[in-house]
Amino acid sequence: MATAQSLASFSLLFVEDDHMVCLAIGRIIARRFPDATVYTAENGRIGLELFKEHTPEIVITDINMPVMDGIEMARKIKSIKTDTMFIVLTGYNDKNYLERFGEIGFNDYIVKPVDFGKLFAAIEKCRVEIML
Amino acid sequence: MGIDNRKFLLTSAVDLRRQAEARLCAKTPELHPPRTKEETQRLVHELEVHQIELEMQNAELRLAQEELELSRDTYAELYDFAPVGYFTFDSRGQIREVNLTGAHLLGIERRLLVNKPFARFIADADGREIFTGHLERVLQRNGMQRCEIRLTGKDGTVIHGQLQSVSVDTGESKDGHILCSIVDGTIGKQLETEIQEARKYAENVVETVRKPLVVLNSDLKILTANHSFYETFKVTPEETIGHFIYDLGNRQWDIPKLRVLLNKILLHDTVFNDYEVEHDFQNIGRKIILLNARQILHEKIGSHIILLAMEDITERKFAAAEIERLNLSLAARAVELELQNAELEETYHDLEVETSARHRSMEELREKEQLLIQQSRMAAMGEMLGNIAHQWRQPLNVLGIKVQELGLSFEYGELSKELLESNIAMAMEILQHLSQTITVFQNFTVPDKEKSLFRLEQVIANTVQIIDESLKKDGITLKVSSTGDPQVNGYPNEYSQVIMSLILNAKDAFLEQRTAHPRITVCSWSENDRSVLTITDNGGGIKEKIMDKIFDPYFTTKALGKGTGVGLFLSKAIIEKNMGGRITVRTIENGSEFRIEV
Repeated sequence: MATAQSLASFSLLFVEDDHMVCLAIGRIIARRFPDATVYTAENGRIGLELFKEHTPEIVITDINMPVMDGIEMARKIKSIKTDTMFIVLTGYNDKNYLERFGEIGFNDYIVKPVDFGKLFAAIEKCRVEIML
Repeated sequence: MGIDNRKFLLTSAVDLRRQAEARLCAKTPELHPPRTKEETQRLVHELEVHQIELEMQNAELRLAQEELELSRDTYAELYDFAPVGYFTFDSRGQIREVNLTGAHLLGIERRLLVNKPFARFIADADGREIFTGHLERVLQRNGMQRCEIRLTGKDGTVIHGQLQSVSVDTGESKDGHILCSIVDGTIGKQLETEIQEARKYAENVVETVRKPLVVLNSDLKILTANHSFYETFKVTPEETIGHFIYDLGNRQWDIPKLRVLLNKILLHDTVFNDYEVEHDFQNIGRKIILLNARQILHEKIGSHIILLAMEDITERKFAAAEIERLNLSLAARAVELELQNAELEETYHDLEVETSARHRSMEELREKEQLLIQQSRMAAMGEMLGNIAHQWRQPLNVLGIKVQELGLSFEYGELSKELLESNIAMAMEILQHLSQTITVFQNFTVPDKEKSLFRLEQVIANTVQIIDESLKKDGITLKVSSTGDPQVNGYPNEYSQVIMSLILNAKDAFLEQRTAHPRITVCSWSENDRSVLTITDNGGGIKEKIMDKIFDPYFTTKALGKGTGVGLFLSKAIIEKNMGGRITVRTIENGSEFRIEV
């Protein structure tokens, strides 16, 4: 990972309450984007703590989560660092949540079940944006 | 006696001649012999005249005697045939003479009666004693003496003899005789008895009359009054009998109209009916009395008695007035009733209309209820679909990840046998889980056709499986515990619907109350051959004032559009109506406890 400390390198926080999903997706993203540092958290509060510690440029988060949901976490992160980019994972039925999230602002959203092609594309778009 | 009279007279004529000649002889010495022829001639002439005079006198006497004899015969007949028995007794009561009527009275021939003691014909010892006393009185006292004795008459009949006797002193002997007349008073006595009986009868009649009745004599004095009279007018016999009617009870009977009746009307009418008198009586107050009067004339003596019957009609009059009043009010009431009747009929008609309307609406309601149950089922299904979505989304997500991971690994040239097997195994596991969820869901949505004995634990497990994921997602802890493997005879899917409904209600309460550590506990056990299931939560409990209403249809505390308000209503219907169980709720610390017994 030390070689990743180039201009192209970035950090990413993945927040998802299903532990197995969280680890699996985190591992796959890390494999696909070798120059990215991936942090994973299982709820909003842990995610917020990790953000405060590492201030990753990209945050990928579920909405419905125990302890602190994705929306609240996003609001707090935005208040810390406004230009943080968000990719929201959502179910088909979570339109309301998505709208509420939209008020805070997100870059992209992925409807579950997660298609890695779309997820990778979304991450790629964000990475390009970071590089600009 | 009459036949012997003439002989008696002739005998006395011979006696008379002898006596006359004896007297002439005694006289002769005093006579002078005749001195001259002239004197002799004169004496002869005088004697001849004297003789003629004597003869004439004799003839006259004979005529007088004949007349006397005739008269005596007449008197003898009168004596014999008088309608009264005449007896001549000596001082000891021996019959010396008796007339024919007397003999006839005793039924014995006259000649057999003479010199017989009269006592022999007296019927009883009492009578003989009375007769002895009677004789003594007659002899000792002057004047007529009377007595009544029962005598034995013809063929042993008893005669009621009424004796009247007087003693006669004759110069010849000191032992005077007694003249006695005897009358047969039998018929008179019978009449008297009859009269007495008639009087008694009349008095009884008067007494038995239930209305007041008085009998007045012609002086308007009271002869008789009956019990009812005393009773009605509160007077005693002592102050009534013999009193002038107007004087009764402090002159309270001195009523002008009564005076009119007694003094005027009865002068020309002997009968008077229904003569109404209204008067204030001292002891009994104001009374209206109806008087009936009868005047009974005693023609022979010219006096009369008055029967005065009274009837107190005060109450009847009052009653009549009352009846009239009642009749009027009845008539009024009848009219009222008729009106009411009409009203009732109208109401009845309205009711009929209303009933049929209600009937229709009942049917509609039943249809609506059916619809409601169906809708509720659909709603539950919808809810479950939501749960299914939650339930499936994650596994599907994982499945997607596992499948894509294989592709990506292959792409990177990192696909190993282990990864392939591991991911396939996991994918299959997830598929099995999803398939199972579908089965439970299907079971839930299929209505129970008939009652069956089911294990409550199984139903709880199936229900929990459907919603477990969604509860977990909301951070709700669900704890299930069961002991004794309770069995229920009923509809498992409906029961499951109830459990689901109660758990989801608790979940809603948590969201509303923002409960810090939401927890639902489902317990089940057997108790007295019944199954018991409790669902408790710490969602703050149910407010006391809505406790009574929570099982009502359409009652909801949830925001508009959030709750249907039929969850608990249907739960109650399912448990109590369909399965004969009982569902209750109580508040516990920080929450509520639903209890289902079947």
